[in-house]
This record gives sequence, C-alpha cells and structure tokens, in this order.
Amino acid sequence: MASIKLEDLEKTYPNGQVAVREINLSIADGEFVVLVGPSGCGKSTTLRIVAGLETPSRGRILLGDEDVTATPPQDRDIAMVFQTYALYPHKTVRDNLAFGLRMRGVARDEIDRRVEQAARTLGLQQLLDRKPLQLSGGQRQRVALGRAIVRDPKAFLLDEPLSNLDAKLRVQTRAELARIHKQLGATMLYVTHDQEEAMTLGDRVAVLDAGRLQQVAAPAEVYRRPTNLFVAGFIGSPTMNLFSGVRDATDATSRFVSPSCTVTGGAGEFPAGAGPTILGVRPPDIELCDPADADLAARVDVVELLGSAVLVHLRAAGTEDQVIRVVAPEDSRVREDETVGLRFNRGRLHFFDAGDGHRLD
Amino acid sequence: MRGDKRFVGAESREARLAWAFVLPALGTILLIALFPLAWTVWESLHVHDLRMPWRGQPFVWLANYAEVLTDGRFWGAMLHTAIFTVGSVTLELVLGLVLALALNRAYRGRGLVRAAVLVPWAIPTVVAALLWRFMFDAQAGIANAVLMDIGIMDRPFVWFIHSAGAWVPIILADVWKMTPFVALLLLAGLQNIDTSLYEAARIDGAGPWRQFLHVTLPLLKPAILVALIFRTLDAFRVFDLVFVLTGGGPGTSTEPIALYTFNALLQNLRFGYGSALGVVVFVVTFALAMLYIRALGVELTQAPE
Amino acid sequence: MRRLTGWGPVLVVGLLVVATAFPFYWAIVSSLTPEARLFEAPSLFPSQLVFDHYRALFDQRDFWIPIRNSLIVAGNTTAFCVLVGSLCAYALARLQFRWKRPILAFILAVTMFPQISIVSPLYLLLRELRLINTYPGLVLPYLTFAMPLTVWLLVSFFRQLPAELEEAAMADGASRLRAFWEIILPLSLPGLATTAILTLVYCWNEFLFALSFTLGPERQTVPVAIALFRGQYQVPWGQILAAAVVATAPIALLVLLFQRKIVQGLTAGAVKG
Repeated sequence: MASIKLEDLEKTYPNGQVAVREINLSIADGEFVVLVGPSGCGKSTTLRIVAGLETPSRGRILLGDEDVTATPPQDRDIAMVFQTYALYPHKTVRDNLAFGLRMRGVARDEIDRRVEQAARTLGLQQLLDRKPLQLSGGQRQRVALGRAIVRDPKAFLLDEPLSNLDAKLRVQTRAELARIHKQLGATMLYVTHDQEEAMTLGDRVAVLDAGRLQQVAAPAEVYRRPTNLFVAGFIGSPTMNLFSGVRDATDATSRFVSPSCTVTGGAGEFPAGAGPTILGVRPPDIELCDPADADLAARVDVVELLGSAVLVHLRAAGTEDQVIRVVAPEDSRVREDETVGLRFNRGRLHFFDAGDGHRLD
Repeated sequence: MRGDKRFVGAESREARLAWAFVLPALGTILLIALFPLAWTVWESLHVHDLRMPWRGQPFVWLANYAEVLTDGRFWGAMLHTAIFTVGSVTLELVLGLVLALALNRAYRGRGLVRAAVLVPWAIPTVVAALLWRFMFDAQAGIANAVLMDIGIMDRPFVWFIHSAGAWVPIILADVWKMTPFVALLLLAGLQNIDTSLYEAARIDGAGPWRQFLHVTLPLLKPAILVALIFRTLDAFRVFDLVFVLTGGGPGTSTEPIALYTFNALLQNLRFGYGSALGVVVFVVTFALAMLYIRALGVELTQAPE
Repeated sequence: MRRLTGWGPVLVVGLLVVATAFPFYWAIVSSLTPEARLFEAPSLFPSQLVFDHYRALFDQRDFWIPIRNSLIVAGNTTAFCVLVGSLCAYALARLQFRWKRPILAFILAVTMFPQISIVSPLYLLLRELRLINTYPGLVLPYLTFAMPLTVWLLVSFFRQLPAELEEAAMADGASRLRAFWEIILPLSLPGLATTAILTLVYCWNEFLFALSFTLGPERQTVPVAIALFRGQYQVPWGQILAAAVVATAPIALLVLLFQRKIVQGLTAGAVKG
C-alpha cells in the first residue's frame, strides 16, 4: 500500500471545458478518502486521472514517493472498481480475478492461492466457474471488488461501486467495504454522489463542486463545520435550512434578523461584525416549542413519518415560498395547518457570508 | 508550464499506436482508391487510344471534356440514369415505408419474414437481372403469359426491343432487389422510436393517421434521408442490372452513364475520353453526396456517445 | 410493440413474401424443366423435373472453375480486409488522436465512390504489372470497396463495446495491445464474423471489376461467367437458371443463418438512434 498525493491537478478538455482545477489532496497510506459531489463536479475525472485513464492538463500525481503523472495505467499498480463493474463477460469469475495477476506475471500457483483467498474473503467460492452473466447484481459487484483485492495493489480506486445495487444490498455492501478496508489496511479513494455513503465510509471526505475542492475533513467535521454554503447544503439529510438576513451586534447582544425570524444571542455568541448573512440550521437542530419562547412561528404544511422521528415541513409567515424542515421526536403531536413555535439550538448555528458563501466564525 | 512535455508524451503514445493501427488500412485505401482517382483525372486530360498506340498520349487540356459536353450519347446516358434513379428510388422508398410499417408490428414468424426479404438484397445483381430477364422473355417469359391470360394483351410483347418497354423489367428488378434493404433501414429507424410516444399521442386523442403524421414521419426523417442517400448514390452507378438485362439497348436507349463509360473504356478502348466520363460520374456522385450530407448535418460520422 | 391488428399488415406482409419468393421459385422450377418445355406456355406447377441443366452446367461448362475463382478472390479479399481493417477500426473507435474524424469521414466517402471512375487507371496499372486476368488482379481492385466497408462496419461494432472493459484491463496491468488481444478481440468475434460475411457477400456479387479485369473463363468469377453464358443457337435459359440457383444458394443460406446479425451490422453503420 502507498499514499496518494495530488498536486495542483487541472484538467481542461480540448473543447475548453474545465473539468477540475487546483486539486490538492494527500491521502495517507491506509486511509479511506471519499470524493463526493453532485454529478458533473469532476469527481470521476479526478479518479480517472489518478488511475491514468486520463491525462491531466497540469499538476502531478504521486503514488508513494513515485511521480506517476506520465505513467500509463497498466504500470501504476492501482486497482479500480467501476460503476458498471466492467467484468470481462467472456471469462469465468476465476479468470476475471486472475487476469490482473496474470498480466503482472505472477506464478500460476501463486495466482491460484490468491484467487482462492480473495474468493473466501468475499464468499465467492461457489461462483468461481460461472460467467458474469450468470451472476446477480450483488455477486457481480463482489467479483468486481475481488478483482481489485486479489491484486494487492498500491491503492484502490472505486467509482460509485454501490450505485447499481438496490437499497438494502447497498447498506450491506457498504458495511462489507468498511470491513475489507480495515482488514487490508488499504489506501482507498472512493467516488460517490451519495453524501450518506461518503459520511459512513470515509476516514475523510473531500467535497467537490464545479471542479474545485470545497472542503476536505473528517465526516463529523464536514457535518458540524461546513466550510461554505455549498458544503452545508450538500452534506446532511434532510438538507440544512438556510435563512438570508442581516447580522449585527451591540456590546450586550448578537442578533440575526431575517423576514421570518429574529435570532438573538449573548455578546460574542455570533460571529463578530455586521452585514448580509445567511444563517443555516440543520433540521434536527430545531425544536418545536411554545410560540412564546420561539425564534419564529410557522404553519405546519406536511408531516412525514420517518420511523424513529418525524420530518415536519413548515412555512413561516412572510416567507411562504420557503419550506422549513424540522426533525422532531416521533411522538411529537403536530397537526397539519397548526401554527407552532420553532426554536434553534444556539450551539448549532452556522453563519455564512451572503456575498461569497464562506463560513463565518 | 511545468511537466507539460511529459503529458504530450503520454498522449502521443496513444496517438502513435493509433497511427500504427490506422496506417495499413488507410494506406491501402489511399493507394488503390485515391491515387487511381487522381490518375483518372490526369488520364482524362490526354488522348489515349489503346487501339492506336502509335498516336501516343498527347496532352490535350480539356478537349475530352469539351467532347463530353457535345456528345449526344453522353446526355442520353445521363437522362437514362436520371430516369432510372428517380423511378426506382421513389418506388423503393414508398414501398419500403409501407413494408417497414407492416414489419414493425409484432407477429409470429417475424424473424423468418425479415430473413426472407433480405435474400434478394444479398444475391448477385447479375442473378437478379437474369431472373427478371427470363420472366420478361418474349417466348418463355411468365410476364407475357400472365398478361395474356388476364386479357390485357392478345399476343406476346417483346419487351426488350421496345425502348420504353425495356425500362419495365429494369426498374421492377431493382425495386424487387432493393426495397427490402430500404425497408430494413426504415424498420431500424421505426424501432428506435419510443413506443410510449404513441401511447402519449393516443391519450392526447390522435388517431392512427395523425400518429403517423406527427410522430412516425418526423422521427423517421433521419432514417429516410439515409436510405435516400444510399439508394440514390447506388442507383446513379447502376451497371450490372442494365448490362445483363438489356446491354443498354435497344440501341442505346437504356444505356446509363456507368455503362457508357465502360463501353468507351473497354469496348472502344478510348481511355482518355472514358476517363473524362469517369471524372464526370465522380463529380456528380460527389455533389449528390455533399448535397445530402449537408441536408443531414454531420450525423453520419458522429460517434454514438 | 403494437400487436398485429387487422388484416392490412398481414396482407402487405403476405404479398411481400410472395413477391420476394416468386422469382426464386420460378427460377428453381424452370431450372428443373427440360429445355424444350421452357418455351411452351409456362405453367406454375411443373409436370416433370429433370436435373439435366445442372449436369450440363458442371460437365460441359466447367462451372466449378468460376466458383473456385470467386471463392479464392472473395476469401482473400475478406481475410486481408478483416485483418488490417479491424486494427484500423479499433483505433478509429477507441483511441484518441488528431485527424480521427476526418479519416472516418474520408472512409465513409470512399464507400460511396463510383467504381466506374477508377476502372481506367486500375486497368492501365494492372496491365503494367501484368496482373490482368490473375487473382491478385481482382483482389487489389476489390480492396477499394471492401476495405472501407469493413472498417466502417467494424467501427460501429467496436463502439458498442463498453469502454470500461478496456479501462479495467489497463488498470489490471494490461497494455493497450494486450487489452485489445485479450478483451476486445474475443468479445467482438460476432461482429468480426458478421463483417466477414458481409464483405464476402459483396465480393462474391461484384461484377464491374471482375468483368473489366478478366479475359477468359479461367479467371472469371461466378457473376461474370453467368452473365456471359452463350448458347449455340438460342439463350440457354435452363443452364443459366441452374447457374443462378447455384450462385444464390450459398448466399441465401448465409443470410438466412445470420440474418439477425447482418441486419444489425447493416443498420448500425447507417442509422444511429
């Protein structure tokens, strides 16, 4: 296993379209980093550049201490798991697993031993003589993983490997991936558009938007202290509520005023200074309360039962076009069309500059 | 910029491999198709008569082309080619569309029918021509027998000595052979149309005729244009069919331009003049192709991505 | 897919099948009818079947010679085109390099080339090389239409294979060449076979070049031999039709066996979705 280091990576297509720019990212030996972002943000391009399937327009890629920027993919000693699995349809599972070892000139009995071992790790022993077409989606997915594991490469690159599985299988395989990562101590770079996958799998999460890295941090950090409005809106489900307004402060209090709410705090409790601000509050950080103690009052639109909690959609007077989402305990007694008070958890407020969207502290 | 050279290296590795793969085939095509074409143009600027080798090959500028323009047989051949092209392509497109629509329905034995219609397309044109020549033979032909049986004629008609009558078997043979090909192209186009569009149109209250006008035809336009291109260019080059069916006769009244060019070259051995005719055929074909490709956009060479 | 409703389409399809099949039926029946009866009033159902014409075809006319010639010429042309053309098509379908699009457009343009326009230089060239009336003297001209056709068909086949397969092979440590050999080639065998069949059919049917560049029966291909059949007093229809049946049977068989693949190949190259 080896570390991966991306320096100043940039990719411009011949038609002038910029896919990624100024990507700087270090992945430690054995670390699991998830690249997450909406479709078209450049995450797959970044992964393909690391794999060597695309050439960067500038910048360097280091694998361990070795600069592999100009190395063709077959000489990089990385393994890749594709979204479509890309299993060789004319080869049996055994030959699919052995192919990478054969290409690298591993001795025949060593190949057999490692294929058996990988098959055991993934529970594929019974399937070794089948062809990919005879396998279920989940089995194909495991063969794709197996093809990477068997190689014992310097790093694993995974491109949305779970997106073709149904919801239940996805959760199972997610746990299995985490187990494999721990067991192998492998360096993994994982691409997904699913923020939940990113949060549960990654040692660190790298959020990408419009070809640029927005934030690279541990999942909890990305959730608790999103560095800008994009990350705040992208990470976390249900999505964070955003209120645009103005922030000011006196010697004794800090205050945020928007058309629907006024939030006050003690001196220095909110970021210093004044000006146009966007206040973000996550749905679980809002509690239903008596209108007398509330930061704002809103009318209940829809109540959705999530199971262990309810998701309440509300609209505040004056800003009817904005839906406020609140996650409340499952036994909350709220009825549709009722007007309730909402109170924000003071320790969990996020302030962003309304101009550039950066986090204010 | 730092490291730029290496990237050029990585990309040029792929480009080098690509050229190594492309060159043998491309070289072959250049050598045996493009180079001869240039030679044809060069040849067309000379008098080169293989029956009179002592005259050498004097360079005569555009004299051959001047002769082409005043050559009645050339204009006749162009006219015959045009008649054949318009007649056969029109029939093939109309019949092909009807056929494609019928074939697009689901029924038992569809694969068999599709295979059956493919056979005439696949057999040698020479064979097709002979079958039709036999059927239109004055004595042995079944065409005359049938026409007399149902009372249209009272004595055998000699199709091939009649300058208008000779066109009938020619065009029928081409329609018989090529309509299935047109139908298959259009069928592929029909199968690309999302069936939910028809369901949507039905819910919107469109009857079968309206569905055809507003869904089928507009979406089938690319396929129709492609079929039109292939067939027109093919029909313009017609040679085998006429050579076998009528030999261009009676006289030269069914002689198409390709046959006239062939005769000028290999019957009369006038290579300079025949080459000039060949260049004219090429230019007209090229112009037709350009016209069509302009109409179609560049879709033909675009990658299906 | 809409179900078949009403009798209209059934009628159209029925008519089509009859119209398509009748000339073949008529040729087969006539080829089995004694020469003398051919010129009597034709009847749809034969009263007497004889194999005289087929016997004469092979005994007197040595029809196996044109068959051998056609097989040699078509086989060699096809083998060369598929071998060289598949590499070219792969590069055009998958590799990145400048001039890719112009080359593709050029190859498409050459498929529309009028053959008659290059008969004169090819004749002079082959005469200079003493290749008139030889096998290479036919294979070389045949490449002008067979090579672009092969490349064009194969490009569309290669494009249908998912690019991830090669990428996976390269990530697994295979070079481009190795990936082509181990992954792409085995997977495109059906496409290669279809292309080979189509190229073979085109070569088998070719007439103009074969007529122009052969001199006598010893190198004539099947279409030329049939077209130039002459009788002593009248057209030998019985033998001509027998020859037509012999020339058509293998093609018809190939087409019936591979019709699905052939239709896919033909339409994939021409119409895209």
